[in-house]
Amino acid sequence: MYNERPDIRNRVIALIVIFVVVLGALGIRLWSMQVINGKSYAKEAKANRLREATTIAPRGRIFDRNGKELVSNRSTMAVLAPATIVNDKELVKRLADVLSMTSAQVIEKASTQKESALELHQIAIDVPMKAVSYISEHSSEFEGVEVQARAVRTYPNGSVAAHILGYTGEISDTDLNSEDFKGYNPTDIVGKTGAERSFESVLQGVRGRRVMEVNASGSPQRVIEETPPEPGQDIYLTIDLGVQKVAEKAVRDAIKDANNKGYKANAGSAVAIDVTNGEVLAMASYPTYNPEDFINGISQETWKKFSSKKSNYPLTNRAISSTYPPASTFKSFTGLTALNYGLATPNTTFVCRGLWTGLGKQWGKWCWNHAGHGTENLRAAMMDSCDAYFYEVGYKAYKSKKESLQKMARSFGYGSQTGIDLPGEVSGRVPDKKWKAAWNEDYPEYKKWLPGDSVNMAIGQGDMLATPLQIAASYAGIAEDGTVYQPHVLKSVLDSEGKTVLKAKKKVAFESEASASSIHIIQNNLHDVVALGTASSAFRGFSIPVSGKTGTAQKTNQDDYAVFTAYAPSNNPKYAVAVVIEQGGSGGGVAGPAARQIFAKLFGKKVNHVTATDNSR
Amino acid sequence: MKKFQLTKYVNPSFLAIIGLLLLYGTIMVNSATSGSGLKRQLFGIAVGAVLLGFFWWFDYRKMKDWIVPLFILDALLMLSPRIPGLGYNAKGATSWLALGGKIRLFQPSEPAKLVTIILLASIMVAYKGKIGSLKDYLKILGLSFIPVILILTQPDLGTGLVFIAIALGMLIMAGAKARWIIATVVIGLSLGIGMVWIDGIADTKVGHDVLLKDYQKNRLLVFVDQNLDPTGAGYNLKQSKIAIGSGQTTGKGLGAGTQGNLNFLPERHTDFIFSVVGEELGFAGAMALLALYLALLMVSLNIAVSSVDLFGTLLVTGVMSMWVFQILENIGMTIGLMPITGIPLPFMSYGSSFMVTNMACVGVLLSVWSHRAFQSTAKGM
Repeated sequence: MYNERPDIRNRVIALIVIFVVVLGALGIRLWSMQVINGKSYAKEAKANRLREATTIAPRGRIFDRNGKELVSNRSTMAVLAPATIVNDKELVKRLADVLSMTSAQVIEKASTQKESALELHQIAIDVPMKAVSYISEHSSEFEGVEVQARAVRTYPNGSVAAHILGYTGEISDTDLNSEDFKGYNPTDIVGKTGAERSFESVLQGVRGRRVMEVNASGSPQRVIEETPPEPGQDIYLTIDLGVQKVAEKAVRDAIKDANNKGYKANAGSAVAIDVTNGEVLAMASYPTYNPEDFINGISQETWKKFSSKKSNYPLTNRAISSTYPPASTFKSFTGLTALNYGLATPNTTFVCRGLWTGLGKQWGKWCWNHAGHGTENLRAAMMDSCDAYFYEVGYKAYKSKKESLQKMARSFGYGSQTGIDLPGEVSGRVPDKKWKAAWNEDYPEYKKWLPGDSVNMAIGQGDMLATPLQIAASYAGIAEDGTVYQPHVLKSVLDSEGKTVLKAKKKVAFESEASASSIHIIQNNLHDVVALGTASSAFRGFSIPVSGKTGTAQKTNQDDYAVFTAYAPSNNPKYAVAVVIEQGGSGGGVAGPAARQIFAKLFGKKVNHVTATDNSR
Repeated sequence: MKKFQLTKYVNPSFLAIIGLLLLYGTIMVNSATSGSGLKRQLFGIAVGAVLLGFFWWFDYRKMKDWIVPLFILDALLMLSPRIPGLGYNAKGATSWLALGGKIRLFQPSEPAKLVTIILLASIMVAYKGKIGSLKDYLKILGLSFIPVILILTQPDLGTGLVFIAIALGMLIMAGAKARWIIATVVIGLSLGIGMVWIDGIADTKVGHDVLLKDYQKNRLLVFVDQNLDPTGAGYNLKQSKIAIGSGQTTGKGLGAGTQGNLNFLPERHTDFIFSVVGEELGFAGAMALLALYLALLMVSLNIAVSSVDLFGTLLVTGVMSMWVFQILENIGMTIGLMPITGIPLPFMSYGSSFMVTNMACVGVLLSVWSHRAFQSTAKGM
């Protein structure tokens, strides 16, 4: 009985110690987890239950000047999955089978670091309806997998205006890190080239955001937070779809004409601008491509093709990114130099004997007409495109030591970008003393500017280079008595209600050096070139008076490049056009008829494909 | 006849603490199961209350001489799931009695805990509170290990550890020398670690599990490296820690635990009920529970000390040892202090077998308390 009870005091103390140690250890651990480190656990709990999905804003549409759709969006289906899908090999296999992909491809898409850990990863886009409905009907077998509607670009006119519109694609790392693309997601689709690129900030829109609560198996339970996407703004371009189509066809026709005449022509471009404000109505470049090819990411194969020499670089917008010798079209500016700086008057005559020997007999240079043009004043020299006359002017300019040719050329925009609102514009080249010295830095014997350099430049050859757009813009400048408006393709920006929020304003890009009286003389001469001179064959019977100039540029080891540029109507100019056909043979014979088609469309006349002959250069 | 005095039979603070714990547990199970577990929990408490009443009324001292029948009962309870058609296998252990092997009745290892406590008390009381020789100590230790070996046949390692904890606690009170007990713990731990190690080698040599099952080994590995395999073997631990930690100081609010409600927490109404407490009620709620447990243990200790005989003291010590080990193991595993096993939390976890056993234990304690001062009157009961 209990009187035999031993002294248990120490045993009781031992048990108390055990109780306190056990509960104390638990308490301390809980203190550290809940009070000290609670915040980081709270973050983990949040990461467990929250999935963030961004809803992509539809990109703004692109219209032509008359509201015809050039680029629009079409709805397609994308399949998305959480990054954790890679842990479930069987699910990956199932999904891969449905999407006609390999498991490895699914895993690669699911494990890109582009999306954040909370986001769903895009596994496939443009998924066929059959696969979409299979996944929806068997959703229990595809836990966490989501099907979402996506808007992708669509081009109702196919490849028409491809170079102006440009294409879109997933943002590059370089862009992502640049200041212009601050706040973009690594999966954003952005404009890569053309107007898509130039007006990216307007077209893009703002992504919507949806935070969902999911359970342990990844099924969404409820929406925690939602911000709807703001669609991108629509834009109107200055392009006229009808004119654009004709311009593209005209270039193709010209290439065919040239081929029929035995020239190797395989590329070309045409530009049409409004001389009164710089609006670009058409800009064609051949060969071309279909922007549709870029929608789901360009395939390796297509990309290789596009960047091979054999394909002749269809992605290049030749109208602004390629440079050519302006050839005889430059004679207008040589003429202006002569008149403006007193090197010649309209009545000054020169006798062309075929071979020009101004630099001495041993340095004789041929006029394209070896028989000679006889006695010619400026008007006749322009109409016949007489080289000898302009050699003489060039030599006089050289002797004056004032680089007046260069000054005149630059005042019409040669040698610098016009500032058109499209990416990839190059500045061409106006050669001068300083340029030559720098260019031939390693060849001291070629550093000196020689009389021959000025003489070659006077006929738009030598080292003189210009883009088709520059050529058109400079003639727009002649048409406008010396004012060159900045060429642009953006007409207006519309908000989501269709209200115009921004209108492109005309802007003077260049003011010429030439006096109004000298320009008027050249204007008259250019009218006569088309009416009676080298371009008369191309414009025979055309009801609108056109003023322009043919040109035929020589390139080593290639057929001559055909150039023609003009503005119309002569008395009250509205549009300027430039056409360059690589290896097209003859400006008047090949490029002129192309320009005629474009003018016809611009003025609402019947578009005729005429054949013309012209032997000048 | 002396006048019946209710206050002599009732230990108000003890009953208050039990009441609060049951209330706390019911609220948490209700929250963790969104109400669906409430009925069964209350059923467990109701059945438990009947047993509590019975053991309270019953004079515990009568059980002192039932060594042989208790041994037989213990063995029957623990081996019964092995009888074909009676057992039910859940999570690798055949620990349920079931009708036709399908309809689960109860886990016999739960009542076996109380039977074992009574059995060990009966054995130890014979030494009159002083285990003087090592031979006696080893003899008692050996007898205490019979229930442990029996339970390992199921095999339920976690419950086996509970039996060891009960035996060790009671040995302290029975008068074993401190150094023997410490030596026993040290040797036991070393043997355990050694066995796990040898088992690993044996498994690779033989090509299949020898002693420990794969999931048991994984639980130990995860315990050692808590960041291991967070989507597989380490999932439960990781999610439980996130739940408790994210409860922070005051919790996310009752019923507002995201880890629980969105199914990140496994077994949240049974073994991981404490994770729900930690998540929904935070450090404050967890501390309140620990405080209740500390009070429970202290009041129980007072009952042990107040007992009229050593047998009563030993019984109460056995029950306390069971509770304290289960509290340590259950809460410890949810916060990464102990490896994960399937040990429920006293008065909190959902599960009627466990609840009924604990209520019966409370009845035994109340019986000890009731008989403390008036043996003569108590005898007449």
